[in-house]
Amino acid sequence: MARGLVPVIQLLALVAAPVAGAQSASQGATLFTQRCATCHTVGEGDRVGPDLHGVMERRDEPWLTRFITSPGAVIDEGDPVATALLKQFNGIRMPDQQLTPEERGALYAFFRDCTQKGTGGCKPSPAAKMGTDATSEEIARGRRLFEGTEALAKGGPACFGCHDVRGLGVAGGGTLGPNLTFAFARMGEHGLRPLLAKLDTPMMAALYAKAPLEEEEQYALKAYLADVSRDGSKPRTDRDFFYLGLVGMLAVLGFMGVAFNAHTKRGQP
Amino acid sequence: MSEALFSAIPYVAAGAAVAGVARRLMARAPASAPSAPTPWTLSGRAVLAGGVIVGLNHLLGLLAPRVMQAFNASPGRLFTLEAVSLIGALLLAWGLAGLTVRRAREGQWSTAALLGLLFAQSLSGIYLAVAVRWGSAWYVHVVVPYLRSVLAFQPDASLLAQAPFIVQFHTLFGMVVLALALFIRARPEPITAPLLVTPREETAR
Repeated sequence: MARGLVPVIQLLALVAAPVAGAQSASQGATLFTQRCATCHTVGEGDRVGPDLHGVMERRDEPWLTRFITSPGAVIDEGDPVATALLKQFNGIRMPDQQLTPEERGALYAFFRDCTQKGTGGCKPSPAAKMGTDATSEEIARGRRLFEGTEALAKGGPACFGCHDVRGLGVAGGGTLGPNLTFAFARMGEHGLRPLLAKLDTPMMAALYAKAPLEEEEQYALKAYLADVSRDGSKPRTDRDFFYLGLVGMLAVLGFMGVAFNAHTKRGQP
Repeated sequence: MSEALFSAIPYVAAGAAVAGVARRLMARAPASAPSAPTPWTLSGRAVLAGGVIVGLNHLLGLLAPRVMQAFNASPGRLFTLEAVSLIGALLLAWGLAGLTVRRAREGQWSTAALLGLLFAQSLSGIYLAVAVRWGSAWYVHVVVPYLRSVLAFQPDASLLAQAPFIVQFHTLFGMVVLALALFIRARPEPITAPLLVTPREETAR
């Protein structure tokens, strides 16, 4: 019975292998975005560190493992490749990366997958980039999208009508939804990214069902919220707006009283 | 609030309003039409000015939501619209309070009750405008789809059902008050005075 099962198990292992590999590459992609993408790209050119497209083919795996674990140690050993890289990238040393063997395996699977797909085949989702890595242009775009001065591509309502963020607009944003000033600080990258992708709170799910945010919009909004989460200015209170209305009403009543009384008096014989 | 309420109240209110108007038409009672211009109180003028501002704000969102959305695409413009609408709502509430008290003093209890209900509705609107701002921004996305679905006889309150209670209350109570206003003002008995002018002012004429 057990012998009969051996070929079946081998067959199952063969069928499951590509699926496991794909999962591993996917985990590696996530890991790359979280741990490496601030300094490296895969197929989009050098940044602070080298473009890692084809790295598994350029270097052997044991060397790569040693370098990732402790780049400083490899450089100090006088390794010619590590020394050349240090010189090429302005003497900036890569920090040590404490990765488990499984995480390293996933990362390598991702690099190999990218090589198979060719240059540009592993361009990360714009929304996956860390909110804290945004440029000032991306933050400014996020603010415009939040305020509504730049319309959302699929026509969804701007955040400003329902959400407040400190330092925005004449008297702040709306209060139908929660204040988002510290949303990024509270929820973090891992909480905010899926929220912006799915918008799955009861009200927003219905509101954006036919008008989801595009990936670039998700990123710009996340970048803006990451930026404002560092704001420490004093929030405005609702009563300020009410007092403004009260003063306006008294002014209009005063005007009406003066204007119509004067009119009546002039009309009298 | 129950989904059934969102489906039933608009049509019950419309039915009551139509019944009131039909009763009046069948009775063929003369409408109130003072022959000479009637003097207005400050309260009456406040109700008129506030009512026009608030009514236009609500109607614009209902009839042209995209225009309103485009207008509100700037925080400055949105704030201006909200500030003007709040001033209008406060004028309306102030005027309605004055008229309600005067009607009650004159012993016109049904009219006073109607004005009192309108006053309560305006108060709920002011609370909503201040506590759940910016109404004109989310109104077109949350309430207008419901109102349009009601007009199309396919009521869908999926968005409104997620809104805070005060928004649901203001929407449904508004329909009830409008229906009552039409029902009460369309009584077969001749109405001797327009709603915004008190008998005391007429005798002073």
